[in-house]
Amino acid sequence: MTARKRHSRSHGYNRHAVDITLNGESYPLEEPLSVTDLLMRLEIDPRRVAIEHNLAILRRHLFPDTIVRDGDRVEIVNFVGGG
Amino acid sequence: MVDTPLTIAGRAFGSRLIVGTGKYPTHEVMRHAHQASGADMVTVAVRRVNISDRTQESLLDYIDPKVIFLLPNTAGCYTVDDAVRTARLGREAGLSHWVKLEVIGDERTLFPDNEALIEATRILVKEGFVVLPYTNDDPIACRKLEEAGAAAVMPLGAPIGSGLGIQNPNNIRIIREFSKVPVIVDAGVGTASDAAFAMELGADGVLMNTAIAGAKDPVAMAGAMRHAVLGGRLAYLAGRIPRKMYATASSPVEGMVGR
Repeated sequence: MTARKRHSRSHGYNRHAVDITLNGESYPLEEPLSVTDLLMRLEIDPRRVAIEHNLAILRRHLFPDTIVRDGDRVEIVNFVGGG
Repeated sequence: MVDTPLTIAGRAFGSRLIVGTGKYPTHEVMRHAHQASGADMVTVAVRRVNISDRTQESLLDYIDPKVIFLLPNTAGCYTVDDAVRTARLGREAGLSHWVKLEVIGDERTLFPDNEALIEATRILVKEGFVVLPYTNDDPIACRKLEEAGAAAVMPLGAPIGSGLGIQNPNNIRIIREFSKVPVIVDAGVGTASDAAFAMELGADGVLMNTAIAGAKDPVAMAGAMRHAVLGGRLAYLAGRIPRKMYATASSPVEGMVGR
């Protein structure tokens, strides 16, 4: 992890410690974060979403203990109108 | 005449009308339309949460889960992988293992890709899903879907959102005869008579979105659809008279004055 962090920092100025891909777009974080904390930061009610972490479904009870790290891909989906 | 409820995978529904949640002018109009339709199952789509704008209200604030059963769809999926992935996300979000399975084969017609649909059905059934596939009005495809474990088959009446009505009534009739699982006519309904017609053909239910949401008065149209589905169902159960070329008098031919 230390090596990865150093690597990402070496990319140049103004680079965040942790860069994740959130719903297909780059999203910077200051440090690795639990999924629960990420949702809180995004003001998203965890009861109403489903999450894919690095292409695998993340069960709801694992949100608090799952840490999102540099390079991770996170998809957060919810229900919208449809037929 | 007392009807039996629409029962899919052992779950009984009070209404044979299933409605969508898309394209309503407002969430509030949708809520009233749902009430007027009498539907107790509605479809929803699974999409990315808008990260930058959290001000939007949630659709779920306008659907009472005690009254209405949520059926997540895989609309917009063009591959088996995408459909399976979306179905799994829908299960996590909704905490139910039901899915309206769509695997689309063409953008302009939104016709299903039968081959991919059957494969995705097989995969999801193995994972424990109750799969309701949106399919072509093809009796053979429907039979294969049933063999793959589909809990119902949902042949289209016409292209999604087209409002053209039931284009191939004879196929719907044949599908009904072939199928041991419920047959839900999904897509193509434009107005109340289309829904009644689908039910008269023997469909066990009708699923629609645009016909209600896109009507000038969605709440009134939802009420019309409720009655149409009930009327069509009763007519089917009652057994219609055969079609004849010439007239048969309804009044007695004897005892006419002046003969």
